[in-house]
Amino acid sequence: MSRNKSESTSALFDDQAINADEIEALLDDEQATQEWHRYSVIRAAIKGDLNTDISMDISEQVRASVSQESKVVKPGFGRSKSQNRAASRWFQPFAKVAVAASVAVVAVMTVQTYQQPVTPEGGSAEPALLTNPIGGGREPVSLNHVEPMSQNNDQQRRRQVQSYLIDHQQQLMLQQKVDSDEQPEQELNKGN
Amino acid sequence: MITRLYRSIFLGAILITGTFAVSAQQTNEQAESGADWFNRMAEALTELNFESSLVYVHGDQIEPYQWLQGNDPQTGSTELLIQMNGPDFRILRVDDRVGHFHTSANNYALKSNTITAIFPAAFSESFDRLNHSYQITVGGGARVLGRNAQHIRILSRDNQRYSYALWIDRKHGMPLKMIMLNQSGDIVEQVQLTSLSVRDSAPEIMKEIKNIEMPPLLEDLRVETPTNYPVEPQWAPKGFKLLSRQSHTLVVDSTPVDHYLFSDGLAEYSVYVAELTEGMETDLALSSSQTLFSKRHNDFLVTVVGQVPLSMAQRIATEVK
Repeated sequence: MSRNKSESTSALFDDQAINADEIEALLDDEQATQEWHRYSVIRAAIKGDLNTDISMDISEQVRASVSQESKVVKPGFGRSKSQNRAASRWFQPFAKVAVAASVAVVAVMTVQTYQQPVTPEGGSAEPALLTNPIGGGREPVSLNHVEPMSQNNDQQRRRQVQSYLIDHQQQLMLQQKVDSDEQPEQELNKGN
Repeated sequence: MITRLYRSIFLGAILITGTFAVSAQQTNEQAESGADWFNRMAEALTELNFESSLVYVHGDQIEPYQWLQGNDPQTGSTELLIQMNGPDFRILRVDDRVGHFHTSANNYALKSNTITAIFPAAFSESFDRLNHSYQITVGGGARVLGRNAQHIRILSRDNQRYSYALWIDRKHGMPLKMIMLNQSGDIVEQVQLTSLSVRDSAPEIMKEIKNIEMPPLLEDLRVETPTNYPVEPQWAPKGFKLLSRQSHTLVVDSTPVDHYLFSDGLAEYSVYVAELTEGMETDLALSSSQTLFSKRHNDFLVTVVGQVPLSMAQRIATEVK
């Protein structure tokens, strides 16, 4: 039976005609749908074309995620630590949010210039610049005083940068919601 | 004789005014057609049925995505974005509900009319909203994604913000390629569509996933707590308006902050004011696709975050008093 199903999965996949009952049977069979998914991933990898295969996959995803939903804790800002943790789980950073990316960037290149209060050589008010070396010269980078810094400092700095970057993204997301609710853009239009 | 002289002067005057009028009209027309292209793009981004794939490049990161949109009576308005590398991450929009699905995290939904992850939300709305701070110049044609594309640039009027170069499909109005540049012309972010199929009706998948149950909406998260500290932003670049001011704590490290969010319709930045405590780093700057700048002001730490040039972030931070 299972072999049969494999065959029809494969037939279906190759766009060969199989009858509606077989399709129904396949859809009901979790193993078969998973098989389908594996095929599709393989084909996608070969053809670089994933358009047609998305639907199965997302329904699977969503089914799984919906079943987890009951455990979800409604987050709130700043009421208690546990709530904050809940909130941070909610806001898994999104790719464009670039949190992961920025973190990586920060990790790769942490250039400290004048972190300690004025050194004998005379420090200026230049900040420590953490910049992305590969993306090219975005802003002038002061490399004058590159020195290894203590692990603690480094971690603290990274954490602090992350905190703010993530928070900014969250605020933007929330703002979108408010935006579409209240249309504060009228105010924006007034600017000359 | 005199009449003839008068007449020729008169004619000359008419000719000259005529030329001026024509050239004025031309610049107007150019501006208009720039805005027209933009508005056509906005229309495509909200009304077209398409399936596409694209790469999003920022810094040394390249991220491939699948992006689909459906708009027809059967599906209503739907949009789906799937990250193709790394952890499975999807955003699904059905009308004004946007669900974020992440394999390793709780899913949540937001209220918005666009997914906004790839192109700025402002690209889906009329250019009138940006007109106060930005202008459009119309470039020539180019071949992008094998299509006939129109090049336009969106520049800030003060030349102090990031600008965008866009290539818009002449046939359908879809943006095919986007480059975000800083004020010295260096590339900050890029988006390139790598395939695009425009359809008469919504992609099949959209019909199926329209009925997917959305994760819970993030609601009532914005507890509007008034700001606490006497220090606040005194200056914003022209065209930037304050969207919100409140206080909360940062999720990652629980630092209590006053938060101010500014937007010019396209670019946004946040100003944070935190009470300085032991171990806080006071002089930080990060400049990549997001800029971060922080500096000390008396007993406070002022941090500016957003898609604005570092020099602007510096100026904003300096004016927080």
